[in-house]
Amino acid sequence: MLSTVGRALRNSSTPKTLFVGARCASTEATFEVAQCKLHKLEQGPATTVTCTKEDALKYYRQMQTIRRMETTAGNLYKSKQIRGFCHLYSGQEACCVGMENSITPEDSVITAYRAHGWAYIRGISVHGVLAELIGKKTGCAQGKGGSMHMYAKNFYGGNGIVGAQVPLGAGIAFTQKYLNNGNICITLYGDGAANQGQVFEAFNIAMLWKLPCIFVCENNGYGMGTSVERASYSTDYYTRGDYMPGLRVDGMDVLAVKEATRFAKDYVLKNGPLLIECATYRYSGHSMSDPGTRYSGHSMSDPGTSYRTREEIQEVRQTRDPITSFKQKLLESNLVTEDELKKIDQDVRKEVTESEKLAIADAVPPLEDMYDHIYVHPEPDFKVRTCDPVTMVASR
Amino acid sequence: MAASGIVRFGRRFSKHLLSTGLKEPNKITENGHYIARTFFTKCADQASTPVLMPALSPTMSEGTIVKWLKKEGESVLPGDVLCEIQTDKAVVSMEVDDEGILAKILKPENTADIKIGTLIAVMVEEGDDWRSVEIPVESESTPTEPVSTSQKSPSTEDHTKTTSHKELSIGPSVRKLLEEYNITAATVQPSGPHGRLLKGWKPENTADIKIGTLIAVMVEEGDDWRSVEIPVESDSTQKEPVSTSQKSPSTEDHTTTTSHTELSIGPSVRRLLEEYNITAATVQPSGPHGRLLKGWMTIPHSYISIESNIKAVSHLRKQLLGEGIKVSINDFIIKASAIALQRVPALNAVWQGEEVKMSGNVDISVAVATDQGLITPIIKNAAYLAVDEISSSIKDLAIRAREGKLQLHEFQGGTFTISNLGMFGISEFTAVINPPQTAIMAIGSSRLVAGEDGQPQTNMTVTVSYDSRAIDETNASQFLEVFKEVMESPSLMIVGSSLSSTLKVAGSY
Repeated sequence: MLSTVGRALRNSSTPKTLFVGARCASTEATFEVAQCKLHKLEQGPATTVTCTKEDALKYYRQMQTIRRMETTAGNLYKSKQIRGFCHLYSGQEACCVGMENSITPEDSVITAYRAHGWAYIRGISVHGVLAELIGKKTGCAQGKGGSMHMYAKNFYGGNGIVGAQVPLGAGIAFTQKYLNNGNICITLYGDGAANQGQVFEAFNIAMLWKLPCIFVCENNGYGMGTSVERASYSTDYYTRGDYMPGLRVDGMDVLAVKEATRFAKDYVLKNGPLLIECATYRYSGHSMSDPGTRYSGHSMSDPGTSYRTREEIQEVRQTRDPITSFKQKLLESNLVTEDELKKIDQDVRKEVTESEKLAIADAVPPLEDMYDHIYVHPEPDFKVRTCDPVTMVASR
Repeated sequence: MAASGIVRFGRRFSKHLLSTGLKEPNKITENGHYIARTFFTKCADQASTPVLMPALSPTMSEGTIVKWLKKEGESVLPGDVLCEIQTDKAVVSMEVDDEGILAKILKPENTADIKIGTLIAVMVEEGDDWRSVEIPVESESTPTEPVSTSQKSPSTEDHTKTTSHKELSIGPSVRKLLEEYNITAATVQPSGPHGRLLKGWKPENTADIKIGTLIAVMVEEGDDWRSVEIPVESDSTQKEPVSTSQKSPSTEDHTTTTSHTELSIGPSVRRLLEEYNITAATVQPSGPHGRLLKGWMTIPHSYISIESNIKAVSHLRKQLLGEGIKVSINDFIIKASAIALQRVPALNAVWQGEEVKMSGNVDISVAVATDQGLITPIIKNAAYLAVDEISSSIKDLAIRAREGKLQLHEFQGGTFTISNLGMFGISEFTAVINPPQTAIMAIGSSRLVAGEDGQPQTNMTVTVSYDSRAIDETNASQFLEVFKEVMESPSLMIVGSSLSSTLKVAGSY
């Protein structure tokens, strides 16, 4: 019955109403999502997405956890607990949550250095992420990786070099094709990396070998401090694969992203690579050294020197925020109650705060660890040279 | 609903209280728990959320609140700017990521130099009575430096650990210092982060073993030095034992330079000595070599170089050889520089006390290596000597120099020095001015290079070291310009008076 409704809606051309209908009150609901823009595709992802109450609460919790985690990371940075690099994912939560929920743990993901959200969604605890950021032994990379270098099973990390993860992702997809295991690789990059030459090299070989790879351009509007319009001749990133089919999805809508990813996984396993442009937004600066907005000067009318206005960010927060808008949808559909969401909010705060406390209390890695993990399974008495030519230290 | 009104720095605050073992751990932990509980459960009616001074730049340690953009009682949304803070770099907006009501401003506008972590405001949850907000009592004192304390604690831990892992925590320079003074690292208290041993170590207590170690350091330096420089019992040595021990090798260098000449010989001179099989110890400390060193230490040296094509000079030399006149390229160089010095007398000057005097004669000292060391016999009035006269004069002086038969006036009192290492394959080098002279010219070997026309040509590089107090770079470059011109048109050596140089200044002499 539902599928009939869905089909009817897909054919209709009135995608105004957000909420379409709920079957058996508050266990499942169908939502309409914006139609994707397509490139070299005859048919795109469905424009209606059905979601159970359980899943809806799960997505909400996941997005809310990432948001709180990133807020906490920002605060830890501003209290000088976290040093060095730190790129926050706030605003982009729907991308990783939507995608993760359409793939399996056996599928692989590789991304750039805005990796905290992805690390969490791929299975690292909030504590593991925060401890890593603070540089503690309990961090997911034992405190030696930091913001840009977090890894989990089938999550090939945070990669520090702009665009360099794209060929690596093609390589991971090649493994999957080679093993013929029915898994895919999601290879993410930003709009800033989208003009890198190696990205197109990876596209070429992936197309040539029909690799099961979803290339995802997380377009948050700004490559560091440069808007996409100033950086790219064509800002239709979903068409930039040329011969590679692509689609643009609303990256602020978790359900749209989920549906697009489901479609894409199906597609790439049958046909080879597909390019998804996830139109999203980041609230923070590019990194912690970027205030993200103009310096305010002594008054708000000071034009400052930055690349976007605070008003722009506030407008996105109020009209397109992935969490707020999802919350609104869920409430309108009567799928969940406000109390249920409030409860999640509280749980999330509690979890993140406790993880933060733990992470701060954790020990830093001992100095002996400094020379470890250079090689996988080194010889038992393997030694490496230290910073002076005469001292050799054991490396495990 | 009092549970969710948390501002970004608020949670930091409560966590700090919990996690950092401060002076009164029980009290703070208790209070921290109280705050945390009121945040995250519904048991309290009113939860105040402290807002702390953030580090808005990596180097910021304190800031000034320039302007509060929210008033007390005003509601705040995520992304809103609470206030503007003057950091060490710029005025930066402080945003909040949560919603709530700004209940109390504790640091008014233009409060200067508020340390990071200081409580600046309190927020409450939307719907709470912001007027009756409870202000955390101990907030004024404890959170002033929560960051540093929590950062300190692990490193203090490390201090004790690292004595056993000292091989990891000693840098190469410190290791060298330890070896030099025969100190075991374990006896030294690490002063760096993570227990790293730094050079600026300090003894723990006056009565400690570390002080004994330092006495041993001083003994290593030799009795004279110790008794003169360091009163062992004084407080000052205990305060800065390292600086003295670091100073000692260099002090030694200064005082012992004359006896340990191998320390004070530059590579070029060393090469010369080696070529002539002279041991440095045999060089007389009072001779020109000693003066060279003194010159380098006290004279502000500037350097200027030029390349000169020696094709014409070589050609002329061959021509003269065919006629039985044996002269060397070096003789031409002396002649050319003599003419150049005549033209640019600023370089032909010597110090007389505090004054620089241009000399009436061009007397060129020529560095000659002898069994007794370097000596600089003088070609007097070189500008007026013919090249073959220079040649025979040099030969005579060099022979007598090696026999030790030079008279004082024959090697003292020159106005300019030429040092030529070209015959040893040195492509170019810089020489040390020989006071009271103000300049010295260093000649490198000739070598084949591609000329501007693409044809091979033989060039040599000459480098003038000049005393920048006495000579300016204009004069120095004019000198080299004339030198080059004369070298490349050796006929000018015969008709020096009609030198076609464009230099106008030069004619003043």
